[in-house]
Amino acid sequence: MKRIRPSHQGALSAAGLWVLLALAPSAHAADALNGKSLYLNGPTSGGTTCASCHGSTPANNVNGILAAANNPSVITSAFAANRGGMGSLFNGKFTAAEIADLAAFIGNPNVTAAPAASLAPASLSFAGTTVGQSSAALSTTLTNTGNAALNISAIGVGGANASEFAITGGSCSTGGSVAAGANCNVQLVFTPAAAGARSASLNISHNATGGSSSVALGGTGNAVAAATISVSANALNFGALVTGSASPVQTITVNNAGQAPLTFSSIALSGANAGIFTLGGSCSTSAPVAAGGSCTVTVLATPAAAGAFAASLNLASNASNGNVAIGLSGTASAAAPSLSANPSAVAFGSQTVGAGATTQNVTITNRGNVPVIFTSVAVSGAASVTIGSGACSGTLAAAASCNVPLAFAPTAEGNVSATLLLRSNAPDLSVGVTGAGTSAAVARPALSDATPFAFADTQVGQQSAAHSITLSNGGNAALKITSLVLGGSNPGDFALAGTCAMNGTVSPGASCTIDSSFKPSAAGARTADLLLMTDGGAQFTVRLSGNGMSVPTTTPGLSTAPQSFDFGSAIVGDTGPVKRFTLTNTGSAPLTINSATFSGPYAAASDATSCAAFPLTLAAGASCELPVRFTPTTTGNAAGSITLQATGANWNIALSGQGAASVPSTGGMQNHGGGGCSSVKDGNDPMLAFLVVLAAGVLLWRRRQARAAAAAAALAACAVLSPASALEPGKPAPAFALSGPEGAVKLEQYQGKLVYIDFWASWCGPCRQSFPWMNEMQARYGKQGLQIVGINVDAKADDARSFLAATPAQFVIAFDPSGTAPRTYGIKGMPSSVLIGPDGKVLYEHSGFRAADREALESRIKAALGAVK
Amino acid sequence: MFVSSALCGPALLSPDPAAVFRLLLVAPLLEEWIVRAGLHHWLLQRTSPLPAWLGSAAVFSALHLGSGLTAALLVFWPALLFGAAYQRWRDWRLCALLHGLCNAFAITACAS
Repeated sequence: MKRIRPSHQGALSAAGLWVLLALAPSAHAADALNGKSLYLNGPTSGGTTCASCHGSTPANNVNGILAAANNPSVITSAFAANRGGMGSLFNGKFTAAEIADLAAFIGNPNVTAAPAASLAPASLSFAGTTVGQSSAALSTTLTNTGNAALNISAIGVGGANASEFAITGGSCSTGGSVAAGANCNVQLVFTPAAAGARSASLNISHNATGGSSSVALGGTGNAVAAATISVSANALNFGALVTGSASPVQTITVNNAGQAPLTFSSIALSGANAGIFTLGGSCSTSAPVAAGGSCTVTVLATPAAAGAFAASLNLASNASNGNVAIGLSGTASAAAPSLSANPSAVAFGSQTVGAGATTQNVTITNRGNVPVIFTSVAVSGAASVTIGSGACSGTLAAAASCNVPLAFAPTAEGNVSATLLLRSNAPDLSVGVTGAGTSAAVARPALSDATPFAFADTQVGQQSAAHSITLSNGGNAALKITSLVLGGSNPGDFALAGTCAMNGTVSPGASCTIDSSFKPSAAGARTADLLLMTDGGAQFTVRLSGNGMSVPTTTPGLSTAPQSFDFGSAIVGDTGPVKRFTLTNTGSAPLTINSATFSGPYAAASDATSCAAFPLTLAAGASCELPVRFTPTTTGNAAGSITLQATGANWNIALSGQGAASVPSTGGMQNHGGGGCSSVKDGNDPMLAFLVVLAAGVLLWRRRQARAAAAAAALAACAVLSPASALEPGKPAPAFALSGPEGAVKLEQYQGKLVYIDFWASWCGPCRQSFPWMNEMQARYGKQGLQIVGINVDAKADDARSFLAATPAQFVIAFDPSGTAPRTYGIKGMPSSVLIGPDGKVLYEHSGFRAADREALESRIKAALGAVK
Repeated sequence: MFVSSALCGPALLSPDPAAVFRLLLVAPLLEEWIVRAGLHHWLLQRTSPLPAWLGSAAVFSALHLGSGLTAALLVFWPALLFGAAYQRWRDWRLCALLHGLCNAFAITACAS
């Protein structure tokens, strides 16, 4: 028996610590399904999609995306390095858990392969139109956000006044197909046949979840020419303001989309906190707005007390679509200066050493609620990067912006890295700047206009005139456009066209155009960032903005995002995946949703951040999230839906999924654990705790054995140190007086018999093997005068008793916990035996017990018994 | 393909740092301490080497039934290797090292 050495115990202690670490549950189990949704739809806060640069599915490895398969750190690193402009597009937009989900989807791109239909806007409100006349056309865009082709089987208008809404054009067609990631549109015109509110719906049948998508159509028929009011926002949120300080002025544009002058009868505030708002602007009860004209209402908030505030701006007029109420809200809180930069990282790409400097602008915006006072604006890290004239300085008002022009003029070959640092009363803001100097031929991309561009106010469902920007190449090498996408808050509300295209090439001295346009899907301020990157690493960002104008109607409006969802495959009996649906009140009045009814194996999975319990009321423009869980009860397809009911309207969200059979825990191909490499599935597996308990048991057992072995070694040492007590054949055997299970055991009481003394211990394996043999000897030779005495040397008699319970002895047993007898006999190991003649003298001694010893020992006994006779 | 689908469980196909930690350190140390330093050692004191060798490998396989019957059967063979190493050198730490190396190979093979 080996003693357990300290190194073993140390290793085990360390293992215990590791076990504790491993027991900590993973912070997040990556959800490929959610990753798919993020990949195809972009960040939940809005922005461009991963699919815009990497294609509709990661499986094609466009731009090397498969490097991130199941590896979130690759994505994080790509964002940090602003690879392909990803830092500018996505920094701060995905949580760590969402990045893990994305990595999981990239690793499993076929989690579901299906089309997904999304319509924007999800409702079209036409301007009031004189009976018999036709309105201006509005259009809605059908986008395939899935990863398989979306086939359109039918397009039609249905509902109460279907005949008054006509499809007049668009790129969507019956029998047509929309590729993954692509879109088409349907254009409609309203021609009322009678006065009053008119409604219908545009229905598009397809092969995506739910089988069809629809757009609510509304308009007002006027018997005579009448005014129609449209506004640039259904609600204004003032954000976090400082108590006692005036907010930045917010402006609402009011447009007369009708055919007669618009006359206001009242422009007034109502609500609990109406007193903190101040109105201004050009709209007035004394100044009618001509048909096609517009005016503005400005609103200023000066909160007097901390906390949330709300009121309503009411516009009463002769408009055929009624009065308008615009929600006003915000919170008053402590001063919080804050800056943001656009782009958040600057890349100049490769530039020729010694050539003139290239410049890029960084737009700095005050996102806080107090003015920001700059104390320093500087670039460090590379002398070749400098700040041009006109950079941000002094004071920047809340919500205002300024520019920092950066110039790059490399003086030597190699990569350059610098940092733009802005210090102020807000937290420091730094922007990474990269570039490279080269003597090789390089492209020299330049944009004709990189300043922010604001489109004219545009009605929801219409598209503005295009804003054209020219990308020219003033260098001496061709450039390739590696990214040309829209990012930011509302990329879906803008469209790109022109001769520049992703993966397109611009030769030296040549140019191409980027035509951007605005097509709002909702009322209010909408923004996006046009991001262009070249193969040389140059990056340009142009901020696009515009106001969406909507024609308020009394019809309740609710949009859901997504409008339908395929949960993919889930195991029957498992908890099932959860998808969060965003419900937004797109109407101009508060909307009360009375209930949500589920069909199929779907149910609400409310949590701390979900919508309040039904019935719930959403203010105009407000949103909340409805989490839905898919828990299949049977295998196969599981279609279902959510029906949201409000007074006078209801909305349907189509759901689908597939139930999959659970795999038995034994057998089958599916491996649930550590691949056989570990009996522990994860940090929460009870098997881990079981193994820890077993390991502790082994540790205790081996320690006990080690102690016993140490005791035996000590006995042996004593024997060596006391040679006078060692046995010698022919000399009298030392006497002993011990106790046993059957009473006292003394050597002298066996005078006249052949005594076979066996020293044994419970921890000794060979001892266990010797007992059956000794029983056999005692039975065979007992009548001839043999007496076997087993002397146990365990420190605890209980150990010996346990041994004897499992291995019964048919001979005399004695306990010697103090080890006196083996010491006087000079015993060196377990088992040891001594044969003592009838005269009390030692005949023979033996150590160990092996199979081959049996015959030799029995011969000794037989010989001794023969001598006795 | 059969072997890889049976052996390559989620922890091997997409190992996160915690899974790698478990597979390379925790599992080899715990399992070899229990099976080799505990069970195998105990069997060697009571039986001859052959049944001790086979018995400990069988129990090692049984511990992995949670990963599926196929995986449990497949790990019987490396268990024999670890057991042979223990009978030759009587050092469970060597078996844990071998076990860890086997797991590292499996992670590499499954993740590639």
